[in-house]
Amino acid sequence: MMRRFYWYNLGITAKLWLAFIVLFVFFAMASIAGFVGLAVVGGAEADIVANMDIRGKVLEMEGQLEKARRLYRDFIINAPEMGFVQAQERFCQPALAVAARVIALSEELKSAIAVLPPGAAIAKRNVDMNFFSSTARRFTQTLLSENELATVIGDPENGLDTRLAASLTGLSELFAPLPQAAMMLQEVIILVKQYHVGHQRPVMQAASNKLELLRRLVMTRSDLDPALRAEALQQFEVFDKTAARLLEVVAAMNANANDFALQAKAVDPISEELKRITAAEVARAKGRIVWASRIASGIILLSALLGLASVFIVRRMLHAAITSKIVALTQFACGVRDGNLEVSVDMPGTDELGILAGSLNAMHGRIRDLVVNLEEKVRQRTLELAAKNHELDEKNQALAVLSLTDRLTGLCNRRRLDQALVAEWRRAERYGSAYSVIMIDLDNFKDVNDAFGHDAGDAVLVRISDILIATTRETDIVGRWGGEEFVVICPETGLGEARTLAEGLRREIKATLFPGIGHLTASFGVADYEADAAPGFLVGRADEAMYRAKQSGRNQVVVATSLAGGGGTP
Amino acid sequence: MRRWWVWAVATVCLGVSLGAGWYALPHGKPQACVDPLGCVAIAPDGPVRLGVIQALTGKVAPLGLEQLRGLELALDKHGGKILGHPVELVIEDTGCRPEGGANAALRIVSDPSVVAIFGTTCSGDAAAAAQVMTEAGLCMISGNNSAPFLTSIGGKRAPKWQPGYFRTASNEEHSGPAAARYAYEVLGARSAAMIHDGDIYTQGLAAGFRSEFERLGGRTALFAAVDKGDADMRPVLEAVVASKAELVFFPLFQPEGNNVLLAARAMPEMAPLTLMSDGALIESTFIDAVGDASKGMYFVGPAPPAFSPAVDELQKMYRTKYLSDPLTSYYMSAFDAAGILFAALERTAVKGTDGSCIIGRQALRNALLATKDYPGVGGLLQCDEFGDCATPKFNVLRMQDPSLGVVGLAANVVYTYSPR
Repeated sequence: MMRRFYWYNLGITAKLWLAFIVLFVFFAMASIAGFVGLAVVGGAEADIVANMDIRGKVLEMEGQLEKARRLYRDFIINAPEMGFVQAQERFCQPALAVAARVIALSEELKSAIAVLPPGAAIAKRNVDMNFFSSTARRFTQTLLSENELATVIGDPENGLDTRLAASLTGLSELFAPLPQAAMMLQEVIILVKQYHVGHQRPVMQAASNKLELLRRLVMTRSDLDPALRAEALQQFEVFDKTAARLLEVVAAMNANANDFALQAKAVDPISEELKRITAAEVARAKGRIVWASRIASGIILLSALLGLASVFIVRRMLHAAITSKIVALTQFACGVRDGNLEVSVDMPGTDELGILAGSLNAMHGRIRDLVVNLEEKVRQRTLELAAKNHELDEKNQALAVLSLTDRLTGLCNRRRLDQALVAEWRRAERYGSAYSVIMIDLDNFKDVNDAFGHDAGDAVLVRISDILIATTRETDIVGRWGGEEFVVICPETGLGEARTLAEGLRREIKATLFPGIGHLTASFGVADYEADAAPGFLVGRADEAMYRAKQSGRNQVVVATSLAGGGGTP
Repeated sequence: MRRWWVWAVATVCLGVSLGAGWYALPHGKPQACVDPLGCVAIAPDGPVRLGVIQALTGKVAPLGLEQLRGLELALDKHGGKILGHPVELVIEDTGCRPEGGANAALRIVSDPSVVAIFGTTCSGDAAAAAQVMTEAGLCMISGNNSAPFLTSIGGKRAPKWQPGYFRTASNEEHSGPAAARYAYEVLGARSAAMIHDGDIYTQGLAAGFRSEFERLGGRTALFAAVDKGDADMRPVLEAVVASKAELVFFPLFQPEGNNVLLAARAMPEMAPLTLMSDGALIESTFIDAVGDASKGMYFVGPAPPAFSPAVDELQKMYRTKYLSDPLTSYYMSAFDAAGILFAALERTAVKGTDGSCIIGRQALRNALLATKDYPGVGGLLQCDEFGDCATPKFNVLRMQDPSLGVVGLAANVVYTYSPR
């Protein structure tokens, strides 16, 4: 969650850095694996070369040692038949050359092993290698010694064999005329030959014993020529010394042979071990190469797969983190552009796009607020305007009412009365229907004003209006004509009924007690439609009747004069 | 600004100097080797490696085994450790042949971690091994070699002497003369035959016998040799008979000594002759092998240590460890040889505080050479300039009853010779 949060909050540059770093890591992994693999393979190859070199030297050394031994053995075997000199040239000299090569090889081997890393298995066998080298040198020394000893024995001019043979030959010549001595000497010669076959000291000892018997024979025989005896004794002496020396040399050669055997016994296992170790090292190095290759290939493949996967992941993450946001922002902008103010962009995180989204959201909110408020305001203004219109209508209506009503009394005003008079006149004209007009004027009203003030006068007028409204019929139209004059238009009313109505009104007024003022009276003029030419004519007649009532003493009803010439009465 | 750089350079120089000084400190390790022959460095947890060259195969193997046991007993007495380190024995067999000794020594000296060599059994091996050992700068000490050629003859350096070679076995320069004296003076022999096998030990004894016998007035009827491995001894004994010797001195090892004895007993003409051999045959396997044939035979050999608490303790150790009686008494000289070597190592080693130590090879030689009044099993020992650390004293023994074995033989001392 934290990582997700962290990722969302990373900047685009940081995200790109991170993505490229991840990719680089896999690339680096693959590269390092490749380099390490190459290094391991290189090291293993070097080990293989070094071990093969060592193995080759060991094999060569082993082969050379064996060759030297074989040459030496061939020399020993072939020398009697081939001749010492020829055998030495053919076998001993090559054997010595081979031995010298063995020494050189041992030094090369030591040098080859010395350059091996200390951890190498064969490098740990330095003791064996020291021994191997020193034994190689000892082999050479032994071979040289053996060669010298062989020369001491086999030298055709002065070798022990030659001298021994010479002494025996000399004795043979000396004892030729002495059958007993010659026979004994023959036994010695046979034993010596036998000795040369097996190199067994007891055989030579037996020969010496025989020779000793012969010596005693020579010493005891008195018939021998003194010169021959002296010569024989000298030859015996030569034989004894030569045989003793021969036995010593042969013993030394046997020791050398034993030395060769011991050296071979000691060295052969080492060379076998070295071969085994080098073979194992080579196998191990090959194994290392295989494993290094496998591991490096595996790492490279893994890195490639991880890199590929990371490409997809990074693509997905970058898409999620950048592209999709840009697309969302674009769609959002298009929506806003198209007037869809209900769209919004939900973009978590505080990266640049998140901040941009936040800013766009804020801007969009502001725009939407502006748009939505404008409509509401228009609606409100419309409502307000409608209300105002309604109010204006009401006011207009009130104004219209007010324009047809007397403001003080609430009765029809003069205008309304004129309209009604016209209307009634036109209906009478059209339909021939009757209607009457009663003109009322308060008597002495000026005195009331003067005596009680205008307010009291207005109150009187209001009271009179109430009386008129209350007393007249619903169909009658009551209005203030002006001042203290009132008109009652009585539709569908003939003169008689109008006169009655007027009379009732007069009585009512007269009967009414006006507070603080007392009783008042009014004069009435009544006229009915008589095909008057105009509404004014009817009103004029009523007014004239009313004036007559005034003149007649007030508080009376006077009927207007008929157009036909009749006059009215109170 | 310039002053800042001066301070920086000075600080770096000081740091480098301190670092170099710290690096140069020994850190508990001993100082570097200054020994002219080189040193053997022993790691804190590393073993002290001792080369052991003995005859462990063939008929002489019992002698070699006794030497090895003497070394093991000395190690046991040392707590199994030298210088506080465990001991690792690098054992090589010689087969009691010079070439075996040379090859064994070559193998031992190939290991640069070997501190010293304990060996050999046979003197012939020692001559070859000592040469290799000396060239490698090592020391070698033996509890069994007694050939005069290895150290000194007549107070002078012997031909096979090698620096660094020491022994606790008596120089048998006087063994042959002791036998000759007994033969001439006690047995009344006036002519004697000597048989050796070409080995410097047997040759030395035979020569010592010859010179002393002749000096006393005796006649050397025969000075013959046999080869190692010879089985048919009749010819040489026929020569002895022919020489009219009254006594045959044949200081040989097994099996040649056995063969000579058995062949002599099989030859009626040898019956009158006195047979005398050396310490190499004062050994139970020889007695067991020849049985009654050894009856009446004489032996000359180094006098074993006189009975003492130390000898008794060592014998008990032997019996406890190996659950058998000693085959010879030579394990005691081996015990002393090992003890002298251990003491020299203790004196020579330069120990580090970390437990490591280095041992100078020349220093070890010098320490061995300086051995004085070492409390050996048979008495105080001191090494002379030729490497002899034992006081020569020889007994002539007569085999009275072979069934009594080595103990019975050793108890039947008929003559004792102490040249000093």
